Amino acid sequence: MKKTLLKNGIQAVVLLALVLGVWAIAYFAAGNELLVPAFSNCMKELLGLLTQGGFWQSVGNTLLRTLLAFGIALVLAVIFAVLACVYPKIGRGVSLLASVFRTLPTLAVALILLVWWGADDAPVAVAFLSLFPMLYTGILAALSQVDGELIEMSRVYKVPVKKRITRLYLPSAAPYALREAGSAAAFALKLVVSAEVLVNTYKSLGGMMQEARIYLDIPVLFALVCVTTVLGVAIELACGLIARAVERRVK
Amino acid sequence: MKICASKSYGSKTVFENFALDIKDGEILCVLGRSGSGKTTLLNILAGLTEFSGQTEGVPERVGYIFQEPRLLPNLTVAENLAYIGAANAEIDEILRKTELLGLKDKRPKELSGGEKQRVSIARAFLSDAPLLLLDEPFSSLDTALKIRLSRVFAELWQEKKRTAVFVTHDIEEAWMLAHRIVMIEDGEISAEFRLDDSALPREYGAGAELKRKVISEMLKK
Repeated sequence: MKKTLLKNGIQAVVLLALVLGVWAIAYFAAGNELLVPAFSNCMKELLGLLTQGGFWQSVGNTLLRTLLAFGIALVLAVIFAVLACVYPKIGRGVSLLASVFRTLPTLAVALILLVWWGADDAPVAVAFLSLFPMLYTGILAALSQVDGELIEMSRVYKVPVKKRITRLYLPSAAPYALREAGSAAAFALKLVVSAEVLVNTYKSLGGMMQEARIYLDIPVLFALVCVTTVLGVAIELACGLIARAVERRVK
Repeated sequence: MKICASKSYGSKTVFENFALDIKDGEILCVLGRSGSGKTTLLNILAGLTEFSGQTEGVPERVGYIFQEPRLLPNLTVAENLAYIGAANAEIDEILRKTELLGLKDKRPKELSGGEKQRVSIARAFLSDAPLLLLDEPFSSLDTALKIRLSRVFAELWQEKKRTAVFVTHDIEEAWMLAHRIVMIEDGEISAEFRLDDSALPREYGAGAELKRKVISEMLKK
């Protein structure tokens, strides 16, 4: 355990050093603060942002949208994946719907939703449209790995469908599905921020990025990208830890 | 109950109008080599395999003791038994009879192979199914454990008197538990032996005369 932690720590430090190295090279190559700002300037801006109430409100709003989009997509994906597993006919219909969602041009949809729903809700819908097919496919794959012999035993003993779902399918698929969900949650943040940038959502990380771009406040823009990246990594790590805890409990 | 079935997997015919009578309350042992269609027969009786033909009197609900215990890894012993719809009082009673009460809150990974199979036997008797199906349930266990589990099975059977179809390739298991042995070969009944009415399980290693007859039947093919 200690060895793994040390290994992961070393890997993180090496990765961070690599990113900073590439940043430094890009900074010197560009030689223009408007293209690539100095790392120290970014950190100065970041520290400044951390002391502003508005920044935290924006972070909160973006995280709330992420949570909402991810939560709705996850709940619906679980429901439909379980139904697809138990009733294959439903599965065929949902797979078709997921394919349609997958092929929708996200940015165009964001603009349409901006007109229909406004800048506050459009990012949630855009993220949902991309997340649902991803989560549905992942959870369906996890459910298809449920031990066939246990399914057969459940059929023999005529175990009610509801009990099969809660006692067999969901616990068996949970660890794999949660690992998938971890990546999806980080991706959800990326999608929400992208949509916020596009529709210029007020008091959001994406909106702040758009504002920084308009005023050519590049160090702030880079600082906001750093914040988003750190949040994404934190979400993925947290989901990974939850998945491992569930796996220990289930197996 | 009666069954008359034909079953093929692709071009391989397992049964062609295979007919079998099962008497109420008997333990019928189906003896045959690997691949002779023993498990297919059980799966037809359990409604797990499609077939052409008909059955008469085969109940919709069956209890099935599989070769492997097939316990849900995330549930405790008691929860595994509750999974098939058993009530708590019934669970405690069967756990007491199978000497598993102390393991009631353990998960399958904390149990030995024999303990897991005992849970599987308890589960089959807990279901209110009038027909029990056993698919070589002791095949992977050592001799001592085989004898112990045969005793557990026989005691429960004595009390509940369920009809049982017991599939095995082991003549010793058949001797210990069967009232009647049918041998199947190439999808047909090749021989049938009725055993005496002595108390089950019969003594391990005894019954040399019957075993000789069965083995000589086996060697004919």
